[in-house]
Amino acid sequence: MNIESLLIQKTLVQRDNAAFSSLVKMHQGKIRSFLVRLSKRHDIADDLAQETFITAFRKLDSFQGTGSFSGWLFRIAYNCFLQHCRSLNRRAEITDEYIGQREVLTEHYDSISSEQIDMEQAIAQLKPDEIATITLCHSFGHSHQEVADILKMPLGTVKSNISRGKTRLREILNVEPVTNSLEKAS
Amino acid sequence: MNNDSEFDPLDSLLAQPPLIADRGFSQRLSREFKKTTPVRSKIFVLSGILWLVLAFTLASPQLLFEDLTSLLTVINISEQFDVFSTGLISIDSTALRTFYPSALAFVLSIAAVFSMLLKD
Repeated sequence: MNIESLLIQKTLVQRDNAAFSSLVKMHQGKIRSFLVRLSKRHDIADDLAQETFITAFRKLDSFQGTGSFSGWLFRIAYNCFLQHCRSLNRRAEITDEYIGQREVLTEHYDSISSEQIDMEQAIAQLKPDEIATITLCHSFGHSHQEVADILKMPLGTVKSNISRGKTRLREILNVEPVTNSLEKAS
Repeated sequence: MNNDSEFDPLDSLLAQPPLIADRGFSQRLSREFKKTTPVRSKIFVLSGILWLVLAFTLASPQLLFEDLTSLLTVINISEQFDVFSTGLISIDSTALRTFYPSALAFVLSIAAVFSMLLKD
């Protein structure tokens, strides 16, 4: 049994706040980064992350343990984001805060390179479904099937969102698509 | 996931997401957990205080003392007060009239409220 499972058990059995706080420390970076990409606002992302962890704490007994704990957290976070969009009756919008000011980005991260800033600003121009699928699959290492389960999305839709999103990112960042060896030879 | 063996700079960049710094987020959230969980305790304390106020205003000290001693025998008082409560109950009630009953009742009430808190 790994540390994460032990902390989950301790939280469930003893209702130990400290154990759950350790789980928060382990996962807050990923969850908040995911929500910042989706909401494009650090203050909103923090509110949604807080809501995510409080919901997770209350519903921890419904975590089956069949999938990964981070996947379960991402699902709650994505639902919180969708609920936020519905409550505002609009989709998340690209704001000047995120696109225009590089220094705003740097102050929220422990370390971020110039290339990573370019990437974050490019990702901010994608649609939410494209952001969610690309972030979960390519940034946080979930398989296509896991992403489909987390986002409650058909597998084909996940793949097409990733494909469209990556094509758009290549255009924005001016990155050439990879050509295989046979194409190069010809 | 990309299974292509070719190096793709886009995939490489995507695979290195910058993570948001904690900057006290976990601590703030821990405080939220502390705020949400002891609601039951607060309800117990408030109901205990309310009960005390009602008891002291509506009942006589003698009746209050009798109620409290019977209450102590009924409730499953925590170990910390077990010796204290059995000692008090074993004392002959007539002898207690020589003590100041209100003060004793007050001590017993505090003990009862603390026992409720510890049980929570």
